[in-house]
Amino acid sequence: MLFMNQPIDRLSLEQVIDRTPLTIKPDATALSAITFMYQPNSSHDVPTVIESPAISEQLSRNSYSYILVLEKSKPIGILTEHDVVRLTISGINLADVNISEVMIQPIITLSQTNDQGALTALSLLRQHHIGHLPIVDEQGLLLGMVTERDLLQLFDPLLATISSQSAEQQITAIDHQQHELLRQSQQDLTDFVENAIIGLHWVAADGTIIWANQAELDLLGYTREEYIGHSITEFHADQDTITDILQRLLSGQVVQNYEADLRCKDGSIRRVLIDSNSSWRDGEFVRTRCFTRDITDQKRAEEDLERFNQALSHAMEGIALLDQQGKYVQINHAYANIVGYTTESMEGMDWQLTVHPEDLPQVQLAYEHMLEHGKVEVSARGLRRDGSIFYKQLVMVTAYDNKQQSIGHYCFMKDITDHKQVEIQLRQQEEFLKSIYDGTEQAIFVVDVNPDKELRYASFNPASEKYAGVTNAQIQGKTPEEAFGEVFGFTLRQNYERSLQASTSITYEEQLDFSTHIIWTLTTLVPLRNEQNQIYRIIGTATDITDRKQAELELQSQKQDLARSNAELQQFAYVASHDLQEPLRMITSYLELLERRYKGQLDERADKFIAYAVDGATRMQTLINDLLSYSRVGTSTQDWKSVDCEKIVQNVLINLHLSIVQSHAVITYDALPKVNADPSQLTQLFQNLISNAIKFRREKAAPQIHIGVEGTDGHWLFSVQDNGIGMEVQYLERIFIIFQRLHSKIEYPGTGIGLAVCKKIVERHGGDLRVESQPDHGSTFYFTMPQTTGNL
Amino acid sequence: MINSSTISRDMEVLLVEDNLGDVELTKLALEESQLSINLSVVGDGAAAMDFLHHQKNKYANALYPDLILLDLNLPKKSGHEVLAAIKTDEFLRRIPVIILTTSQAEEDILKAYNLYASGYISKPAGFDQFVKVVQSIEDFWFTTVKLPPV
Repeated sequence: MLFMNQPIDRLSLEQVIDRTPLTIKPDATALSAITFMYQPNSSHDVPTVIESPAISEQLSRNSYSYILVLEKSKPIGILTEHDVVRLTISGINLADVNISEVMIQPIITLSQTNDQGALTALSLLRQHHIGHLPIVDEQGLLLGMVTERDLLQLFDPLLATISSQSAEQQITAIDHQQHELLRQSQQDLTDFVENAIIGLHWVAADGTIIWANQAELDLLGYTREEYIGHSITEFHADQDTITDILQRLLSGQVVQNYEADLRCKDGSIRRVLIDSNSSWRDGEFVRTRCFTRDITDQKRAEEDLERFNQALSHAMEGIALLDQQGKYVQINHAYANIVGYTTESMEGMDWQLTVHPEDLPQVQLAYEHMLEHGKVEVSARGLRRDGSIFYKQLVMVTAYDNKQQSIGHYCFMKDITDHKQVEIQLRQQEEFLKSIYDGTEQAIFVVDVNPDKELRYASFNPASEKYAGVTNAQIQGKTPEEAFGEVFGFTLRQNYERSLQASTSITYEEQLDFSTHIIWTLTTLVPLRNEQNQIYRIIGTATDITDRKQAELELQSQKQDLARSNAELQQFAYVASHDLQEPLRMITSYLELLERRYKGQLDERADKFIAYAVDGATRMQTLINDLLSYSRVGTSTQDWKSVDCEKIVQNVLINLHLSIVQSHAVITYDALPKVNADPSQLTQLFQNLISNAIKFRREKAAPQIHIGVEGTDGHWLFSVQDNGIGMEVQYLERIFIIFQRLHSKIEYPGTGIGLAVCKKIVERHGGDLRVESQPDHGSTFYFTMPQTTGNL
Repeated sequence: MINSSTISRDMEVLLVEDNLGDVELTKLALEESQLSINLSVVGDGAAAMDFLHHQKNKYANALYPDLILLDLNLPKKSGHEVLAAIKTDEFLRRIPVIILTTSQAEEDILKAYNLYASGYISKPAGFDQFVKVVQSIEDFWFTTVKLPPV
C-alpha cells in the first residue's frame, strides 16, 4: 500500500537495493565462497556449512543466492546457486580452486543514474535471463545488489492494488498529469505482467483458471487454450495440496511460499512456490491471484548441496574448520576417525593434541606460512587419541567470513600411514641398493636414453668414478663425447647403441683408453624399458679385468714365443739333419777313400788313425741323428688317433724279433687298452722300453719282460717290468736326461737318448714316466696315459 | 748283371750339386762303374733349369738327360723348386729325378715324393756306402728299368 500512489516507473531501486551485498576476494577458494553464501553471518557464529543438516532450511531465509567477486571495489564476477550446483556436480575440489576460476564473468551490472528505476532493472534481468544485478556508480564501483526476488516483492503489493481497484477510481484520486503517468504506467504494468518472468494466474471460485500470463504457460508448456478454462486441479500433481490451497484462500487466508508440484505438458513435474491471495468485492470472493515461482532448479540445487555436504561429511579425506586460536570448530567423520575421536569430543580441542610432539615445530611453521600465504601443505606424524602415531598429509587453507576477515582455517587431512610405510620400505630398499651402488668394486653407470635416442650419462657410482678417473658431477647430463672426447666418446656410444639395437643386454670386453690410463673391462649393458615398452635408460656394469687381460696378453705373447722357439727348434733340426751332417759326411767319405786308395802305402799306425777318425765321425753322426729324433718328438706332424696298444706292442715285438730270439727273451703282456696317441711315437715308446729291457739283461738269465696295465682315476698306468740288471736308486732320475749313460759303450752301446725320448713322448701325451729298480732285481718302468680322448 | 745290349749309347746323367766334395765322390763312384756314363754337373737350381731349357750359350748344346740326380739344399733355387719345375714341364717331366741329399727330414722326403720324385736317397756316410748307392742307381735305372725313349 506504500507505493500505490507512486508512478510505477518511478519506483526507485532504493527500495530494493541491498547496500551490503555478499562479496568475496578473487583469491578466496570456491569452497569458502560457497560457505559464505550459505553462512553469511558466520564470521563470529559457529559456521555450519559443512555438516549442518539444517542447511536447506536456512537457505531460503538466512542465506544468499549469490556471492559477488569484488576486485578493487568493482564487481568482476558472480557465483549463484546454479553455479554451486554446477560446481558440485563437476567434481572439482572446491578447496583447491579460487573463486575467480569458477565464477561467471563478465558480469551484467546496472549503472545507477537518476532516470533508471526498478523497471529498468527488471527488464535487464529478463533480457539476460539472470536473477542478480549489481548496481554500480559511474566509475563501476559497487553500490549494491538488486535481485529478481526483491524486485518482484516490490511489485507485488502494487499488482494487488491494481487488480483490486478500478483505473477510474485511481484517476479521480490523482491529477491529470498523474493520470497520464498512470495510464503510461498501466500500459507498462500490463506489458510487464504479461511478460513477467514470474508465472501469474487468476482462478475463479470454482477453481477454473480464468487468466494466465505467458511466463506461467511457458513454465508448464501449455498453450493458452490448453490452460485457461481448465480447472487448476488438473495441473496439480498432488490433489491434497491444491485442495488445501483453495480452502485456505476461500477462508480468506493468504498463501505464501507454498510448495507445490505442477504437472507440465510433457509430463514432467515442476516444483513451484505459490504465493496467492484472494480478491474480494463487497464481501464476496471474486478470484484468487496466484504467483507461481519455479523453484525446481533451486530445489535441485538444494538437494545437490545437501548431497555435497553429505559427501563432505562422509568424505574419505578428513576436513575440519579451526578457529583463529587453533581450536577445532567443526570436524567431519573422516577427520575424527583418523585421529580416533568423536566429532563432538573434538570441538574446542587444540590442534596440537593431534600432532606428534616432535613434529609440532614443523606444523607450527607451516601454520604460519598459511597465515601469510593463505594456503600450505605439510606432511607430519599425527597423534591419535590412544597415543598411537600415524602419518598425515595436511592442507591448511585460511577461512574467511563475508567481510574477508580471517576466521581461522580449514584443515584437510589424509592418513598416509600406508603410503608412508611403503615409502619407508622403498627408502630402505633404496638405501640397501645405494649401499651396494656406492660400495661395490664393480663399476655401475646409468645412461639415459631420450625419446630422440640421445644418450646422456645419468650417473656414475664411486667405482665408475675410480675406473674412469672422473667425478659423477663431471659426466652427469653429458653425452659420451662431451664427457670423454670425440674419439673415445664415440667408441663408447657405439657400444650403447649396439645395446639399443640388440634391444637386450649385451656383454663384451673392451679396452677403455681414458686419456690418463688404460683399463680393460668386462662390461654388461642392460636396457630398461618404460611402460610404453620403450628403452629409456641403460644400466651398465663393468668389472676391471685389466690384470686378467694382461695375463692373457702375456700368455699370448708367451705362446708366440713358444711357437717361435718351436719353429727355431725345427729349423735347428733341419740344420742338424742336413748342414751338420754334410761336413761330417765329407770327413768320413774322404777318410774312407783315403783308406781305400792308399791302404798299404801308409804304415799300420796311419791305418789305425784313419779308423779312429772314421769311428769318431760315425759316432758324431749317430749323436746328431739321435738328437734330431729327440727334437722331433715335440714337433711331430702326425695326427693323433685312437690306438690299440696291444697292436702296437705286437708290432714292436715283430720289429725286435731278432734280438728277442738272440736273447731268448720271454715277453708277456696283459690285455692292453686303446688310447688316443700319435701311433709312431707310441711305437717308439714301447720299442725303446722293451729293447732296453732286453739290452740290460743279466748275463746268465734270459730276459723275462711283462707289459702290464691298470686303470686309475682317469688314467691308464702301464708298466714294463724286466728281470735285468736294475740300477742304483741314485741313478733313477738321471737315466731320463738326454745323453746320460750309466754304462760304458763297450758293455752296453748307445747314445743315452732312448729314455729321454720316452720321457718326452709320455709327457707329450699328458702322462708321467718313472722307474722303480734295484740292482740285480730288475727294473719296472711305469708310465701313464689319459683314458679320455682329446688332443693336448 | 750288366747287359750291354741294352745300352746303345752313353747314358746322360745330370748332377745338380753345389758341394764339390759330393761332386767328386759321385764322379769317383761312377768311375768304378762299367757303364759309359756321361755326367754333366751344374752347381745351383737356376743353372739346372738353364741347362734343361738349353738357355745361355753355355748350355746351348746340352743333351737331354736320361736321369737327374738332384740335391735339395741348393743355392738360388732349391731342389724342390727345380723338381716342381721339371714335373710341370711337358717335355721334362718324364725324366726320372732321384733326390740325392744329406737331409733325412720327413718333411723333405714327403715333399719330394709329392712333387713326383722317382726316388729319395740320403747320402750315406763313408765312401764305400756311397759307391754302393751309386752302383745301385746304375743297376736299377740303367739296366733294370726301361727308360722313356729319347
